Amino acid sequence: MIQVRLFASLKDIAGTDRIELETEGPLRVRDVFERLVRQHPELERYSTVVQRAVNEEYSSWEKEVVSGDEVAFFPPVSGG
Amino acid sequence: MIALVKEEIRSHELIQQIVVPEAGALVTFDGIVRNHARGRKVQYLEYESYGSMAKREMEEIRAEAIERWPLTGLLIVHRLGRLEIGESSVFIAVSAAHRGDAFEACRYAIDTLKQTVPIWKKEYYDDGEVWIEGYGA
Repeated sequence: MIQVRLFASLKDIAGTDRIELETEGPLRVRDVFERLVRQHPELERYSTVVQRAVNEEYSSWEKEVVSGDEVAFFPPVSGG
Repeated sequence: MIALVKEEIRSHELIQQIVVPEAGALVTFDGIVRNHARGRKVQYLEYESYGSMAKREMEEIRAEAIERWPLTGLLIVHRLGRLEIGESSVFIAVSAAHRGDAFEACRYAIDTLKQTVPIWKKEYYDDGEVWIEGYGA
């Protein structure tokens, strides 16, 4: 099971801040996001700007994740 | 010290932690909730964070600053939840033997925070609300 966390506008679009994805083998972060887009097509418009993190560290689209990993997607940050 | 807090930031109490005998300068940055943005009147803000990652990123800023400048102390506190106009959303304080290092490290800390720390603000107006996405957006 891969734990997906969503924040800010992405959370609002999906209507939830946590999604669990079943997976057999490893998935790339890109594949995880594509699965989310299939569930929530409105997320697609974020595909060029969305920030990714794996286990609380910024990640590339190509990084592989396995069951037990936490993958987060969020818009560019706006704290401060 | 690194912290995410729900309550008012008590900056005068916080700075006591880094005003040590070796310090000759204290530089602080206080981010204040402003009553306007993008040409609209703002009623209040709400901040949300990816808390565990935000703290890691804030720790990284602190570690990097301490490595780059000879500092005697650095603290970063960010507030979450609903904030009213005039309240402090983020407070950074840096102490050093000399002012140049403290100024530079403080500037580095706030500029980096705005680019890397996973915190988002939502602006509430008379007629709706919007998530702000991106530094300087």
